Amino acid sequence: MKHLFLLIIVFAAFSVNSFSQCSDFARREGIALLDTAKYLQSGNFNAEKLSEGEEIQIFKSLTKGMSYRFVICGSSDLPQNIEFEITDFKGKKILFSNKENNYVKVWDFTPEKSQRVLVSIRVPVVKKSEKPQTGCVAVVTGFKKKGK
Amino acid sequence: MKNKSLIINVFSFFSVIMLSSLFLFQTRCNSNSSSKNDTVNLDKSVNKTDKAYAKAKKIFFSLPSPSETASILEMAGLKYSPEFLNSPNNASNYIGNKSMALNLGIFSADLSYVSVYEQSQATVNYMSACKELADGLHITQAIDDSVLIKIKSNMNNKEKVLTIVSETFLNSNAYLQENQRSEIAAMMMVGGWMEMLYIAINLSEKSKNKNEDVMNRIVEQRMSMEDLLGLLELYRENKEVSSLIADMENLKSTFEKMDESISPVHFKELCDKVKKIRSSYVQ
Repeated sequence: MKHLFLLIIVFAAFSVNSFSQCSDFARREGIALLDTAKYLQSGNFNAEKLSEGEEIQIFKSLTKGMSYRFVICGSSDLPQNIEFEITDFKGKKILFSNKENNYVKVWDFTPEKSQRVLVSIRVPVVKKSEKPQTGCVAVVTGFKKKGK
Repeated sequence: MKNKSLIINVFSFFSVIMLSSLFLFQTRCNSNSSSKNDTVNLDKSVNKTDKAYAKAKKIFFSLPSPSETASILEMAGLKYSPEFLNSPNNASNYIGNKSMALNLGIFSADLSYVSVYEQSQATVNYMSACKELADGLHITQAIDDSVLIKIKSNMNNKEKVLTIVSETFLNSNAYLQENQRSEIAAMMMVGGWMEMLYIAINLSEKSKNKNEDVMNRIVEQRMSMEDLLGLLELYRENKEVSSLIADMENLKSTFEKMDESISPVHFKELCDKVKKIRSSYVQ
């Protein structure tokens, strides 16, 4: 019983730690790409452990007149050509796709009208194998500071 | 005998893992389907089986931080008016997770507002109020004494202060999520969102020549409210969260009346509702 209890604790600690690792990754890598000299972070940290072929989506409201930066990055254990697409909130009208832009990790956008958008991030399948690669994906958004 | 016991323990361990995995899987599936079904769209004609909702492993709702909304108010040319804020002296009045989480969000919004307008002493006071509530919620790691020291030593550097303030709000939120207290994080987001809307409404009313830009920005908060509702729906089973959903749905019904145009009657209705709800949070 004692062993079982210890193993449960180890398992629980591992679960929390893997979640925390992705959040730390978002803070470390995502914020670096955001360039905090010019941008302030907006919205919460969005980070998730993904495997090849998996996708996450994020709804985000943008205000007219503000300049936004979207940063999407994946940990080194994932393929580096992580795809991201920003569309209207229905997922129909594409505003930006990094597939057409050399898989860049950063996109700057100043909306002409206030709007709600949907950000879709997908880890591509590089080669089909029994054990797909898994790692952290982080999405960080920021808005430009006044006068920058 | 010892080996048998070990085998039983290992078996029990894997049973627990299997059960936990099933539970996590169920939770994830539920949260995904909840996001799919309950995500409210501005356009009622949206088909919920759209490609956009069909294949994601997880759906997030990213709300504007209070610093962003405060910057929008500053850009609109509105003057600093601290009389609408919740006094930092009230921090010790809040007891219980819901009240503390809501008011941590409210004080974070006030903190963002005063720091955007470069009010040094008020910034320190609101950061102290945030710290008091963070301590109450046992998230001291997110707002510790070093944050206050950093604020004090960068008093004359607006950019640095804004970065610290913004990071503090987001770190508190991330810390709660990392520690499986996402409901508390969601309640904190409601407090922050509501306070910024409350400040904007009061500033708009105070403004002699009604600032059309500000009115538009207020009505546009319906979009971020949809995100907030989407976030809250994930924790609907929680009684405290479900009471906040009721507040949001109450506001939503008024927002919907302004889909086509902003009538003064409906705008006033929105302002009255926001004041009433916010008042119930800070009491």
